[in-house]
Amino acid sequence: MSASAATTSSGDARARARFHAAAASAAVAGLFTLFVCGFLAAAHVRTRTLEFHESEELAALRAAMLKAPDAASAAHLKETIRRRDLRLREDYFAREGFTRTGGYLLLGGAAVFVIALAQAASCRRRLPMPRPDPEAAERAARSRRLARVAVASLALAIGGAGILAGVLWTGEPAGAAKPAPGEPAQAGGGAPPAAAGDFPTPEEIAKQWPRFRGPGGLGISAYTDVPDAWNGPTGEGILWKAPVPLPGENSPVVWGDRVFVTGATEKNREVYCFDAATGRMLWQKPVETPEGSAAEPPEILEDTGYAAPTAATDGRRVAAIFANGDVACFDFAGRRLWARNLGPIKNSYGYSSSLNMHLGRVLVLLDQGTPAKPASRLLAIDAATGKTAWETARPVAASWATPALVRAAERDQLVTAGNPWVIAYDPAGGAELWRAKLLDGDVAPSPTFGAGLVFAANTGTKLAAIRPGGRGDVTESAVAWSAEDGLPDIVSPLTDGKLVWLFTTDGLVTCYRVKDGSKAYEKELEVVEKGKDGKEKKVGVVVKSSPALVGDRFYVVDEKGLTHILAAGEEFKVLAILPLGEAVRASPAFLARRIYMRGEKHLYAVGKK
Amino acid sequence: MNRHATAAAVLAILAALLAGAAPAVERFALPQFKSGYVRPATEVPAPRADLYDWLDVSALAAALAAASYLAIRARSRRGLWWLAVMSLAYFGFWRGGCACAVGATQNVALALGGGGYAVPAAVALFFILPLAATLFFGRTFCAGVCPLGALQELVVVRPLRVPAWLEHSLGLLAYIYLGAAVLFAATGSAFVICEYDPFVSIFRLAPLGRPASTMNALGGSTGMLVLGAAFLAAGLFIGRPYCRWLCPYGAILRLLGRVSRWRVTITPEECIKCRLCEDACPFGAIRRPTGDWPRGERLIERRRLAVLLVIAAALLAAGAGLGWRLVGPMSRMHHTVRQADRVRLEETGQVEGTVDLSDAFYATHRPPAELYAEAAAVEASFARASPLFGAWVGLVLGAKLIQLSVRRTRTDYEPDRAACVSCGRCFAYCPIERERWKKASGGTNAS
Repeated sequence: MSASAATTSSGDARARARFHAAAASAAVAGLFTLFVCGFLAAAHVRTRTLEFHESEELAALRAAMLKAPDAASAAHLKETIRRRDLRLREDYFAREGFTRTGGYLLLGGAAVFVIALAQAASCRRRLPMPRPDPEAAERAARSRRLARVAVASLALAIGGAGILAGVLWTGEPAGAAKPAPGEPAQAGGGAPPAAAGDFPTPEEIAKQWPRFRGPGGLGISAYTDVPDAWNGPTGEGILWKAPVPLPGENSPVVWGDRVFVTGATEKNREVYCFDAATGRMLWQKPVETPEGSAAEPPEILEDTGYAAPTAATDGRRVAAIFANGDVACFDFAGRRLWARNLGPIKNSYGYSSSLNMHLGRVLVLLDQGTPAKPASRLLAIDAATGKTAWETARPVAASWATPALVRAAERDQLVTAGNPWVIAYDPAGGAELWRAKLLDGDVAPSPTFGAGLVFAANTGTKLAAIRPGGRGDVTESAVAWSAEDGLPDIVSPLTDGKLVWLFTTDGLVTCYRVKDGSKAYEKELEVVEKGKDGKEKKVGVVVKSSPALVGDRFYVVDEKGLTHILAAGEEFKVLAILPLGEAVRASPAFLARRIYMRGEKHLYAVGKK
Repeated sequence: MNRHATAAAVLAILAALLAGAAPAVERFALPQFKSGYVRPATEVPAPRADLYDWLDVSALAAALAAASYLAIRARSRRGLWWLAVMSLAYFGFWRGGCACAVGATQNVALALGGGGYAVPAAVALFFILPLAATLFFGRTFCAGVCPLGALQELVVVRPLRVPAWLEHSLGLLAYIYLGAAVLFAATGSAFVICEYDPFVSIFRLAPLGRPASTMNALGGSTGMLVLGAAFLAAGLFIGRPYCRWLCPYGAILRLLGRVSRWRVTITPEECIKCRLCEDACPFGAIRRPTGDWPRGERLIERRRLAVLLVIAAALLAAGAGLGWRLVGPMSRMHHTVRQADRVRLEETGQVEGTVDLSDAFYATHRPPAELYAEAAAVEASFARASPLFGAWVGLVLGAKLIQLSVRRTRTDYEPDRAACVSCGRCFAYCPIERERWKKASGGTNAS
């Protein structure tokens, strides 16, 4: 063997060894990269499917907490939620750290793989060895022909795809908004209602109790000759008592000789019409939408039930709404005019905002969502046809309050209370008049109005007296005064124009002077009960019904059905405590010589025969 | 070793300079406390200082100068390779692919679209500097500055030859993509180049110098990561697939590269037609000498050219017509138009319930009429721009057909002015170059 041959042979051996080493390194690095890739993919899928804020377990725990029977269970569940939430967050960040480390390993592995592969390939690289190519020119010509065919094919493919897209495209220009067949004007429109003129005058309304808390939603009786003595258990002063078939937290509304209430369970919804003179049920109508009501019952709190919103009437028709979003309208003979479903209403605790009727339209407040993601809106539905007259999106979270309909600053105003905005709208066209950022949390007390001021309050924030004459955001300019004691959580405030009273569910009554917001008193409602030892003692009460002003006194009904009549003055003075004999959470309706009260299972008319 | 040490030192200095620019973002919805707990105010770090933008621009200018010097003057493939490594590290992994000339095309298009957008000076320079460099030195930006090109350059292991006819048609996709990117950017609809950048999710696998909360590893779309990996896997055997067939900025550079003042050549002196370089380019950018044309064939080619000119004009017109017909579907790329569509369906009762898109609008408590008016304005801008885009596609296809029918005479092996990315791979295949190296190193091989 010559020296040069020996050198070549030794060089080949080195090249082979280098190739094998590089190939083996590439194989190991490739496997490692695949391995890391698999782990990362699995972790990635897990991260995507186990986002802690989407945890079904947490959602179930939250739902269970809302329905917890007592405070101790709720507190226990709350602690469980916190622990679970913390663990999910820790898991999330651990996975994120794992992914980050994996990213570095993946890149490192891939880099080694590519370098080793390049080394192996360089060992096998062949040196260029051009040979004579007599067909080069012909091959080049063929290649150009093929290229022209390929480009033409591409043009055909692009053109074909474009034509297909053009043919399949059936959309309309987004800028050309057309209302659906039969639908009147959209948001902001002030088109006249279908039954123009077929609605009551303000004077007619003032004599009735057509909605939650009476005319305007202010809780003020137009009559002073209202009963001030009765005894439900003995029947003294009780005109009649009629059973209501289905349960409901809504309050009676009255127009002339008709009293309306509604009731619902998870599956059934009904509207009832009673004869105001005798208590005889004149009609009982189920509510179902033509297309079928929502299949899934809404999530509600047991205390709220499926029929918390109070119906509204304009003396021609009565409209009712339920927790599943079913809304329906009947004439006084019980004929259904229309029914729609506005649900599902995403509102924890259950939907409870009551209806208003104005100028032949039903005003529906659908507050849903969270402060970060509000999904709230205000609708006006033509009472005669059921078509949406206008609709306005609202920048507030879910709320449970009912708007007040007042005449202030020489214009009609629909005043709503939500989190965080108190907003007034033009009830005819839905245009926003003013707004003030004042409230927070779960807003349930409805706003009220007196002495030229709107009063809105909610627990945890404040009672604000707002001048309703402005435009736009009046947060800084229109608040006359505010106070922070005795803030209500469910019960709506009451005012006679000189004083404003707040009521908490645990019976605390706080009275402020309207002129300057100074506090007149803060007292608890109490009743005397006999203890187990037979001794009498004072105990507190629970109030969920909203109070009403009757002349120089006001009526507050507690959950046990005891009506506390208090003097409407700067001194706390209980004039009478009168039993009904049945639990009451609805707000009574006050008319001439009559009070209509809804107990847990019965409708009562209090008065003299 | 000295060059390695220098590269490491440069990277270390850049790392020290850029550490700490960290935007902060709330990751979780904040809890609401009713217990009286007062949440401390969120402290927001200062935004990234302008200084760093100018540092990026300086880095780009320096890298362009270095690439041009290494490709044209020094003819150093190894130098270009190291420059690609450094560019990949800085513009790719360090800056997360966001100091990017390719994407800057869209900023410029948006500004030219008349929507009131002003291009930041640094972004404008990112767009202009590589174009200017290409006018003078050819596509040296692609050789070792662009991180997308660098990443693909480094993974080419065993490139296969793509048939020339396929190369011609696939290369057109980049021009079409450029037209679409300009259309959607100019109308304010989308930055599709950024949204479909296949490599950005790979750059962000290593969140160097960035808070994980904003540039999370695997934080982008899984689909894009898989697409990037697929491009890289293909890139082992097909040289720079994204650069050759999709890169919209590369399409502009190709046009400018045709008229560049200087450019990379295979041989430093006169070509001896040894044919050693004819298969050297993994990107199919080396053109062979053409030889003489037979007279009869010339006549046929001229007639064909005349027909193709007519076809090109027809393609241009057809493209414009098709673009006009597709105003509707194309305008749906714009958020406002999609939102108006959805709100209209909800407002007219054609659909039940709301979605995030419509909820976002309702939260603004603006009347739908305003949204519809805005959508109509967007559609009007599409009505003007879509036919132009269609005409551009027709022009690209027609021009390619014409180019394929026009013969140019070449006497030497030379890089295609448009397709050559100045990577310098072909230098080592030229025996004259090797001879030059020998002389330069006193008789031993060097690169």
